[in-house]
Amino acid sequence: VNNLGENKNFNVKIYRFDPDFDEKPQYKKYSIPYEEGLSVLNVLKYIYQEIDHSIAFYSSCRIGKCNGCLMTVNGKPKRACTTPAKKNMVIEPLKNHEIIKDLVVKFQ
Amino acid sequence: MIVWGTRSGKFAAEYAINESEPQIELEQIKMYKEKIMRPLKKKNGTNIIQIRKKLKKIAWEKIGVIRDGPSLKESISEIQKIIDFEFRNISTTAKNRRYNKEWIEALEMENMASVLLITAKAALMREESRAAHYRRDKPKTDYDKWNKNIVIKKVKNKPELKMVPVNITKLHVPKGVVHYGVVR
Repeated sequence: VNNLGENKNFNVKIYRFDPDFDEKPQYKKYSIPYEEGLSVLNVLKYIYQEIDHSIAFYSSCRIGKCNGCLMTVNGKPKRACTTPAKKNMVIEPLKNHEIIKDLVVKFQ
Repeated sequence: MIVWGTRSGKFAAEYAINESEPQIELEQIKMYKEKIMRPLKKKNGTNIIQIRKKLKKIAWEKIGVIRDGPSLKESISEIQKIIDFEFRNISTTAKNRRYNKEWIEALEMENMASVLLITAKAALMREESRAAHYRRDKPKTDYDKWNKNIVIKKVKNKPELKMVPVNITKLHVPKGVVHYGVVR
């Protein structure tokens, strides 16, 4: 429930892949309560803390400097921490990198 | 930090390859291995995210910017309770070791609790206010009694606190009990 008393949620789709168990990746849908100014990283943290504790992503500085949270948002490479969340967005790992789990890739 | 981490790891690995193996205590290894693996093996235990939230709340409300004796005392017993009873019960959602965020957090959280416990104990011991340490029940800076460092040592798995006089060489240290924030 937001400050207008409305129950506003929005959906995101996230790439999930654990090479230990999964043969191929799948996309999972999550419903997030809307708040003004949410970043992609805020959304991921919300999912990790409140919905699915098994999701994997990496972040460090949270201010767009370290590039640790680089991932693909709606098809484009973005920093999760400084990219505003959009409804129905699709979050995937960085392309052309070996995937460790979900959104975590091997940086070289 | 990512740059330094990669480099340190690389050089540490290179160093380790050329070093001969030191003698290790197998019993100790076994004990730590069990402790580290416990959250993965345990089923239906406490969720680490809930424990983290609890610790954060205690830290903010009772060991925060403005402190006082009674709430510091409360925080110490609350943190000790979490360390003694809740850490053994942690279990993770994913059970494999592959980039398991909950597991990483579970391993880190014990240190977070230790640091909080030490902070609270030292803040309770220092019965004055000074710089980043402000107590509403002891609002003055006491140069007579508290020209001291607090040194903490781990004894039988518990922090032991000791007051050690400051070794003064060149700086002039004021005397007496003065108002907080007054620089002389």
